[in-house]
Amino acid sequence: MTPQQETLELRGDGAVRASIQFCYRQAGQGPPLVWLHWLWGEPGWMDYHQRLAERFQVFVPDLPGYGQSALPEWAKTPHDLAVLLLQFLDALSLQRPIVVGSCLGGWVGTELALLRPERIAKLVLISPLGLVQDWTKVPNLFYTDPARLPRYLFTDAALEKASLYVPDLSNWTDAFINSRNASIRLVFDPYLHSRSLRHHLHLLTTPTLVVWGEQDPLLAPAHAALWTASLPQAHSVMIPRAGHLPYVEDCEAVIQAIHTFIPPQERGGA
Amino acid sequence: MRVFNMVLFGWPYLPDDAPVGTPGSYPLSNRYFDPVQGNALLQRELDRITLSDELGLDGFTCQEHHGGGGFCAMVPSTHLMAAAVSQRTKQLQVAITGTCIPLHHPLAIAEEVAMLDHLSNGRFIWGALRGFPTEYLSYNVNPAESQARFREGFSLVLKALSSEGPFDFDGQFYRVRDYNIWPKPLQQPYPKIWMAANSLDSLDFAVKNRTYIATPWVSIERTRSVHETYHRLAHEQNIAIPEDFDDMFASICALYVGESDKKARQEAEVHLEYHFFRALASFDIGTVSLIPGHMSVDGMRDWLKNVTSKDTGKAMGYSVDEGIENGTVILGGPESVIAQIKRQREEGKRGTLLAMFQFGSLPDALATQSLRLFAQEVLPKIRAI
Repeated sequence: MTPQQETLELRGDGAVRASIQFCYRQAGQGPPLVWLHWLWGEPGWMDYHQRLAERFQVFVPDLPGYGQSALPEWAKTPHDLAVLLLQFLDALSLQRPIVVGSCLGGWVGTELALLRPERIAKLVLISPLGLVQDWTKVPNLFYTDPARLPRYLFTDAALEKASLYVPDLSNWTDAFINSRNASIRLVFDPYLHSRSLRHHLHLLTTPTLVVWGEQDPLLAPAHAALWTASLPQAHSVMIPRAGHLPYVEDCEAVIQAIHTFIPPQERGGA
Repeated sequence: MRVFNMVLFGWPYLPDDAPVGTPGSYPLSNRYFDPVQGNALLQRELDRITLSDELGLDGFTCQEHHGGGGFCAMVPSTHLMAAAVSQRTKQLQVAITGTCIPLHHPLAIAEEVAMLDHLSNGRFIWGALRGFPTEYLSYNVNPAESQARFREGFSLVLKALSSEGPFDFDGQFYRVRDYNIWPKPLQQPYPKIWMAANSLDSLDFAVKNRTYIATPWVSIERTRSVHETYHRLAHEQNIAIPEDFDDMFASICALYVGESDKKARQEAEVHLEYHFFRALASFDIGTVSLIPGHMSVDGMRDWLKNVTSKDTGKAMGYSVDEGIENGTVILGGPESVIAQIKRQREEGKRGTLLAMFQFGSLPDALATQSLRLFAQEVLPKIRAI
């Protein structure tokens, strides 16, 4: 299955709604599912998208500021990205998609559900940013030896896959540089979290699955309990032997967790 | 040619096991700092600045840097340093090259610039600097906002300095209602401004704001091209260049005068090497430059091309001969030094040297001896250059 690559030009009204451009990939049939990528963007159409596309109509947008999607000057927080993402959902007439967000995408998905709970059928948060126990103990992704970066994200067993997500210096594309620039703008301070989000979460009544890699070197799996304790309708699943992007390390285990959370009558396909 | 004594305050006592140019060497642990040695270093430098004034040098300048290490051990605050120098000197110009604007509130900068102008009886020159991305991380200012904050902050400083009566300011980062500063500067509307500019974009900003230029550690070829670009941009936009722009066109170098070429090299070479390979190199430019947000996509692409092709990111260090060749080092007996300074003016278009008389591990007595020789044997002969 080759995904369609599209660019959506959203014309603003010059006053309230922003003019923005969203690039996204789309494939599959079934209930709509929007995949929100991690902090440094999605490297392409990957095996986990492919597996989800067997049962869902999968949309993988580059969030504003990432890849080819532009970030308006006023947008500085994951909450602002959620506001822009609503325009994306409206333009594609996605009335009640399932939203799956990893890392930054999990935080943006949470903000989206807080803004418009009625617009999200179900929410899957994969090691989301937003709540951090002690930020000074979380590895500094923005200032570190590039050779060490993969170890902040992946388990030793998956280091060879890391180069797609954290490329060698000789393979940095403009899109990747762009994505890193956007990331520091969005989550630099407070580092990877918000001081108020925890106090908003009790309003988020969307059924939510929290997925965490049991060996996440960036955000320890104990963070999953912060989310389930604050969210009224959430439970968590641990993925053994996996790091911060568990779907890279054990695609099937994450797909299985999503399938269990979304029963067959809510999905398409076999 | 005009000559300023620039002090950088490299820490000359780094032990061999101190991390130099390795990822994570910023900030350098202050367990390497010895309070008694540091105090003596500062006091000796202040004495030499006073001597520079007595010997007829044109000015003094220093740079704001944070996190310590081999090249910025004693002056996290240029404003305090300039205040101290203003009280110890009578003639020379007291400059800053410069203040990292986004790390401070622009109103406080404007108020202190005005104070410094009075403290120095109108001998003050202000400088505007963006600084290193590590300094933004340390002060928790978003590196992705550094350029926008620099530009907006700069506009607010100028507005505060030059406004007659209370003013308002409505920016993205700074908002002011109904305020004006006391004192106003002595030099009206405000002191001359040096901007550390190197890229096309920053030069265009400097042209539009009619500031002078002080380039960082760059080659003679580079200063010539910066000089040409500034003039071209001003001409294209029909913006009048300050009359004394060329004489104020400044560049940084390390300077040492000995009795002869041979003696100068014997006395200074090992200390220059310390400066380039230990002090400047204590800053891990390879990792620091990768901090996202500080550079544009174009800037980062160019940087990566450079790093991955020539491995220049590993260290800032180069040999003394390379330094002389590229114009960041002036070294020799008086005649050679005069010839090198001529070349700086003719080929590099430099009108003011921000010259470090103390660098690396150079002993205090040698720095003073070189300064005296420079004032006696060189300074009178380069005035007309």
